[in-house]
Amino acid sequence: MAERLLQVRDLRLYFRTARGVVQAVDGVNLDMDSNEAVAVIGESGCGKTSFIRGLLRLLPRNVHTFTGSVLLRGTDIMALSEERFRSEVRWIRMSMVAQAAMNALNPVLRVGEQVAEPLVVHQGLSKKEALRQAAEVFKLVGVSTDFLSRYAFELSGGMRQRAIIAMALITKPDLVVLDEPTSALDMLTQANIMNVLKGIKRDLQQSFIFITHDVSTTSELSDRGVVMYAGHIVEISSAAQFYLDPFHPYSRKLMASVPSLEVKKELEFIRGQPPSLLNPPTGCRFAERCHLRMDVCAQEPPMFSFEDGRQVKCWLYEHAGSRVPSAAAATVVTAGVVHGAPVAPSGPDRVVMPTRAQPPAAPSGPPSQTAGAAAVKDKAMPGAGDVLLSVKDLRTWFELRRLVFARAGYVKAVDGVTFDLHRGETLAIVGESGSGKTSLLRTVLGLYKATSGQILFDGMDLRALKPQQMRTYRQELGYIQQDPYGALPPFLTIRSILAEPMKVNGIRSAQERNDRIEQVLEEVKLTPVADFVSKFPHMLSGGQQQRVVIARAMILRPKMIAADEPVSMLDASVRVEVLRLLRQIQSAHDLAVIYITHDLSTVRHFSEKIFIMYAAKTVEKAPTEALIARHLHPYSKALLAAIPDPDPENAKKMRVVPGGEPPSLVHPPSGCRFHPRCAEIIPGLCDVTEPPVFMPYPEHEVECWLFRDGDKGNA
Amino acid sequence: MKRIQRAWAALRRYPSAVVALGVIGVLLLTSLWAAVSLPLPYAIRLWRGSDAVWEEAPKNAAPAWTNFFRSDKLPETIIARSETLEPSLVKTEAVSATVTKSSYDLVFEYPYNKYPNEINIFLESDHLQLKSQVTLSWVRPDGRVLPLFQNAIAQSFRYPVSGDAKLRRTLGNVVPTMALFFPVGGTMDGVTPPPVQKGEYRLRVETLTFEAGTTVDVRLVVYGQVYGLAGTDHMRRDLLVGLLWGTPIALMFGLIAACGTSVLTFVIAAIGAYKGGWIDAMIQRTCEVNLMLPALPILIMIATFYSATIMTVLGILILLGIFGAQIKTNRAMFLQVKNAPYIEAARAYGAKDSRIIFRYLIPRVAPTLIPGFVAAVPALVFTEASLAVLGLGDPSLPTWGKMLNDAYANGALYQGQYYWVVEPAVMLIITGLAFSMLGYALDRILNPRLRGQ
Repeated sequence: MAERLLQVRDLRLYFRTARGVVQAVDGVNLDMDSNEAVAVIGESGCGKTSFIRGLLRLLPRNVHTFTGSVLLRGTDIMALSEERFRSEVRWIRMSMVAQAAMNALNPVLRVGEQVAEPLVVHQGLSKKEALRQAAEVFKLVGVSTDFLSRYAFELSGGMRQRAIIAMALITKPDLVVLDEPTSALDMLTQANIMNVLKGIKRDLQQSFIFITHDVSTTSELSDRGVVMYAGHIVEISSAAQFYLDPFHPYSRKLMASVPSLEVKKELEFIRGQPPSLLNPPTGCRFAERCHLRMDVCAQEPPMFSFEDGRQVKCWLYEHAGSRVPSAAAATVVTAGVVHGAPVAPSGPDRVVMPTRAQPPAAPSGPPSQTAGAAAVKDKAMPGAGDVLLSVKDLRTWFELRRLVFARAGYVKAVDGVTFDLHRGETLAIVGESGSGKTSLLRTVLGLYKATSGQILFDGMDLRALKPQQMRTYRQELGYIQQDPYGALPPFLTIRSILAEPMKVNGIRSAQERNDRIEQVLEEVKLTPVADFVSKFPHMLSGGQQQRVVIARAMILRPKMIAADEPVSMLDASVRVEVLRLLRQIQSAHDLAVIYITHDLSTVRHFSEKIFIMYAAKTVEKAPTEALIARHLHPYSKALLAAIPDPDPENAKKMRVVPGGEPPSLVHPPSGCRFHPRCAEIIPGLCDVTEPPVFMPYPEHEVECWLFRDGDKGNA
Repeated sequence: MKRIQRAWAALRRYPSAVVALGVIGVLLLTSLWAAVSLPLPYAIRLWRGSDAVWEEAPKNAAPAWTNFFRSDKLPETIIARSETLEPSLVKTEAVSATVTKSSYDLVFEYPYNKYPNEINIFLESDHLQLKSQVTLSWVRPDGRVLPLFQNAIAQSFRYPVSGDAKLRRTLGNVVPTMALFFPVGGTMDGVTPPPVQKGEYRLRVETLTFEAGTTVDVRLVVYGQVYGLAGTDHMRRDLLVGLLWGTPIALMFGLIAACGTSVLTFVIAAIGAYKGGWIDAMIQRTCEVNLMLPALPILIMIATFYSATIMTVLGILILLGIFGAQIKTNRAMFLQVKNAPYIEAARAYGAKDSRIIFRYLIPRVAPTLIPGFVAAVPALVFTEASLAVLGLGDPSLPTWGKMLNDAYANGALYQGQYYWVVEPAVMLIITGLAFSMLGYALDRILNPRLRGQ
């Protein structure tokens, strides 16, 4: 057998901190072959990044222990001196795309110079030759060579990320490590980047280690899945096995918490948090959160290997041993205890997340069925039908000024949006960053001044309100923000944070304030309340912080909640928990909710209606199930096509992604704003005249000329 | 309470902070003690000085403890008073019903190798109209008697022995402070005086009073060359008064000025950063103009032409400091925090601008204010001292700067009066060091980026 690309044996990396020694990587073993892509998956704080930093020896100063062996094509790179490692291994044989590296490009150097720099530094090439090779790599990652002489700020996020990938590839290393390469990017850009990486893997036989907490994305580019938990690798499986039928209980929980667009399944979440790596528990580290805990779990399980190469660090597979190669057989052997993928085993602490407003069957064909589903939904939601918020032709423009006084134009952040929101209804607004969804939400909240149009909320006209009435208006709207830590003043206790809105809005009785705080904290399940009220935000986990944010939004008993990407900064396992809580609160109080997200896959589990926004306009509005079953607008199609579900098949095919970038909001394209990127453009129409709203199916509106003949709704 | 405990626990990890806190504590105690033991009006009177207050103190004397380091001790001040004399030693003789004659010796031991600085005899007679007559003579240990003075005296009379020109001529044109202590046969040989005759000296006093019941008090002061803990200056003032009262004045000045400038700057920067628009622009332009203005010349001008009281200087310093460079750094911090989601959330639930500024913006950045505030104290103390050194300090107040100014004006360093310069300088340095060390330690504690370095 050929020499293996990478053999990691018992890698340990401990850090010294003020509170003790953090065992970030605690005895990791991993083998890799050439042209293999390995996905390392786990929640944040499980040691993924420390692991690859250890591989590349990019270590901070507070390293306590760094031992083990790493064989790269047979050479023990751990034994090399720092100088030899730097000059012979790092970036020559192993390179890296660090998290958010695209934002770390040097702003005063041309992109080409930066990308070519490893060649000049490590291989001593002339600058000219290095630039020539950089041009080649640029072609490979799909960036025009014109960009070589541009500066970083002249490139879009996607282009910069490609440049960073080019920089990692330019020395033709044996192994490229990708640390969350797409996590800060939009959906279409993300799909584009994944296409680039797939192409490189196919054409150059490049090997990758791919680290992320987003399981769906890893399925785009991986031959094997590696699950890390609390500094250990707990499972190594081939992609085919892993995405369809993970073995370790933790992997299974992770998989079950991934919302999926196509498969309608019940979402789960994992209770609790990964253990502290200061004093990791003896025995199985997942035992505390595991619903299949056994007595033997008090001892640390060894890695059990199966004949097909699969490895699982879990006592459940003790007797399965190496004899059981297939998942089916595994099911038989361990049936009494666990198995039955992909449905999660039932247990007393199992929490499931039913999908929203389930019609009897997914609407897949004729419009009549969709209408039926809608009717069922209406019955299921009493109180719906009463319009709470009515937005008509809303425009929010920001003035651009040149030299303080001269007006230079407008950024048209929201440009003609119309919708009605009913009491108790959830509306999801989906779009890429810069599509105007947050501006729309902030205008509705009264944080931005509308330029024109009308906002009617429960009889109040927002644009005509006097300051005193504005207060009443604001009490009716709760606001949940994206970043829970930033949304809470770090210097106040939870009690003060929750008391603030009440003080501001004239609830003077301390008794009443305390009662309400207690009540609302119980509602968001931060109990016992007494433990939480005196804490500061930094003492809480991300999920708990977001619950406090929800509690604050609820404390004035609003009629509507505006949630701006409420779970995008949380770990996947926690997201489901928070969304479920939001939904419970919504139905308990019959709240209207505007839910903003770029993540279409969670929408299905949360909302009744979806608006797709593109370049400050809504391009498609439809009930959730109808839209997922039948996306009409070419942009919606592209968006939905870009969303991966965890599926081993993903890695084999390229996704169809429209080229180009989202348009400028200062000078939006004439006609349909999507026409420059649209594959189905009707020349002479789409690029000239802005499309009106068509309703080809009941309740399904789309602003696209393709449907000019099928406007059944208006007929 | 818990917060204080936590703050203390954090501070304790920095020895420099503990030392600094100790020093600041001592300075505060000193201030307190100064205020209690020497109430300000009294201190000011002492500092204004005159021979009446300081008549028993020598001029330009070194601190007494300097003798500890010398083998050849400098003389201390010797005072002999007639009031404390045993009545049995006084020979009184009634000449008539109203005229009384008395005579006694004021005895003192002179053990030093150096001559005294100065000799004064203070005479006080409580007669109403008829002046008393006093005869004074000097008896050396070897028994030689030298008549000094014979005259009728006013009710209060000072006989400057060392400045008596006639006596000087009698003594062979040698300064009486020396000649009176010469040994037998000792003469001024060129510039080197003969060794001092050590032993018991007497001042023989004979008084003749012409009113019934009149007493004459005699006080002999042989001024030494060392005095007290701190020494004295050219006006016989005990430097300790300046050192003691300089402490509360410096601390008050530093703290009030630092407090005034940093708090006002902070609030103005917060308002400007949050409100933006023309308010911000105006604050920034004012600041930029102010930054161009040279502070010291302005202060000198105002102190020269308007008033140099400490309150004026304080006010001007605060005014100039408000729109200083600090406003720019504060504004940068506020601009960052201003966009925090929690501020947006506060706006969404209807908090007013003033509440957002004072309740959400300022507390967030306030911890970064504290080290700067503490570190600003010495700078302001030094500014005040510099003005005083330039002669623009408050002339009525005993301050360290004023002491330095006096020392400079009297050429202290050329005359070897190092203590006059060193003492206030050391106080300034100690104060500056203590506040700076505390400031840096606080900076490390409150600024997460410096933590653990």
